[in-house]
Amino acid sequence: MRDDVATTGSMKAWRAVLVVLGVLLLLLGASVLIGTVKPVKIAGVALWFVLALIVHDGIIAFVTFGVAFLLRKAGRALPIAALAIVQAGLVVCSVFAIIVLPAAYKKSIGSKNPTVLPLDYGPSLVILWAVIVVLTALAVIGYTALTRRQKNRPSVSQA
Amino acid sequence: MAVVLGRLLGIAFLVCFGTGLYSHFLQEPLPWMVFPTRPQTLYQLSQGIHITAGIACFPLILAKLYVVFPELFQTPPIKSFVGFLERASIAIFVASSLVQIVTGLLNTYQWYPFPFPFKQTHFALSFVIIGSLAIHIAVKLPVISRYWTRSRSFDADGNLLLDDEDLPLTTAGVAAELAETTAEPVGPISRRVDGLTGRLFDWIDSAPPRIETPKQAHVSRRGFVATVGVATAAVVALTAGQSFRVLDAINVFGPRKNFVGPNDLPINRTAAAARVTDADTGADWALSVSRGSVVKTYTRADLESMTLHSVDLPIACVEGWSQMASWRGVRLRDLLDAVGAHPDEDLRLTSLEKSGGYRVTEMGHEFAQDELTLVALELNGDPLDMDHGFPARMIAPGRPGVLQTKWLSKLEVI
Repeated sequence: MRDDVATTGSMKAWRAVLVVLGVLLLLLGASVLIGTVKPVKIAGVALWFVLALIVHDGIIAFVTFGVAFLLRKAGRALPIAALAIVQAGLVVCSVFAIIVLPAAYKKSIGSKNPTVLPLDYGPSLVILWAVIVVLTALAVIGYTALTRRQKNRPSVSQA
Repeated sequence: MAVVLGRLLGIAFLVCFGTGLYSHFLQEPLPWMVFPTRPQTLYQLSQGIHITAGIACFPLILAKLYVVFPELFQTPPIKSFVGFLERASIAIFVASSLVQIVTGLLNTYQWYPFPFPFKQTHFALSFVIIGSLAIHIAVKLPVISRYWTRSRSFDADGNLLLDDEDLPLTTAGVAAELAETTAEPVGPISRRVDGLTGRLFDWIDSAPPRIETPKQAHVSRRGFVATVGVATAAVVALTAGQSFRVLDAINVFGPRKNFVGPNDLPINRTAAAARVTDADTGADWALSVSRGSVVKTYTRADLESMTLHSVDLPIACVEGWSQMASWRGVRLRDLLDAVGAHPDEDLRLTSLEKSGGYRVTEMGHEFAQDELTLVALELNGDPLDMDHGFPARMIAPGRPGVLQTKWLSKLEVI
């Protein structure tokens, strides 16, 4: 049945429409870029494309993959849900780092006027990280305690 | 998993694209375009959603790329010409998406450390991204269709149903397949270990595998989706207060904060940045309103002596922050009537600022004739601050902040 879905005429038609639409939009994007941005600046865009791929695929992805793997190895003794909670804490901390650290840095080198970036980004980020660490620890402790209780008194909890 | 995340990311991209196009055409309308002026918070809503969805893209895109990370190492790296095109389109898709959201975020800080102009590039890349997205969906359509619904993806016990080709190759599997297809005896099969990734994967493989029960796999899948959900909700909640008042109390990380600034309102461009000086706005200042040869000029005292109206309208910036404010000033329609303007005539506005792309702008008649559109003299109960456009500025419903011209000098009916 699955093969039928993949080879039906309507799917082929949809794929063709999407490819044509995609190619047209790509050409439109390229022509807008060429029409409004100087060639040397377009080279700047290309440079940033390459940098984006290097930074993501070369650094962020490897670090994430490495940390996930090490955590998995180190966390063999932990129940998988506890491991998932720790990972979740790390992920949320990292996402905020990516979004907030540039703001903290820009504020430190000065913004265009005092109403741009008026908040205390760095200190707030540290506080948020601390809150996430505490919440993660509480969640792991709570989860472990809960499962231990259920294991110790299986008949009572299921009665 | 890739389908689940891709769906959310695709929606976020389309929302950004749609709201972005709306913002673009408000600033550079085609001749036939007329825009709605109600609700007056329309642009606050559309651009707030644009920026908020853009911020939400960060956790979503990172999660999506994490899920498909192994695809980066498919061997051989290029299988065919079509395969090459597919990988090239993916590379452009990923690179343009990352550059788009990163430079977009930096733009909300008014920070431009990149070697290209923001506005033009952001606009052009939006087409590149949506085009690549269409191609990506076309390529993956069988997979997307296969895993679109829960009932197709899981069996009755909640186990993920994988197609044969989605399962990783095992040495035993390859040996069995070879034995079926060749008469030659098959020797021991070993994985080639060369290069960094080969060695890394070998090291991973050499570790005793942790056997996951279906229940555990379910937990880690659910955990991952929940994590992405929490991260996305958290970044939105702690920044969206810059655009939406209800979240102002928990706006901890937004680049702007409501009520911070002169007249209790943030500023995009200061008078100093626009090179507007006290000499320009002193006693000699007058606003000229013209239609053809009919010209009327008004000093600030003249404007103050006219019938003044009070309206509540937001300043909604292209960079995403918004704040509702109370304005008091002369209704623009009254000034236009005085020079005999017709209701379907548009308006050209000129500011005292010395340079900048928005020194001279045009306003469609739908905004010029709106009863809420004012030449504002006061903001939040006090005379306009110099940085908010003293002696007089435009304020109209549903327009981006850059078009709410400050330091007005000339209004010409066209």
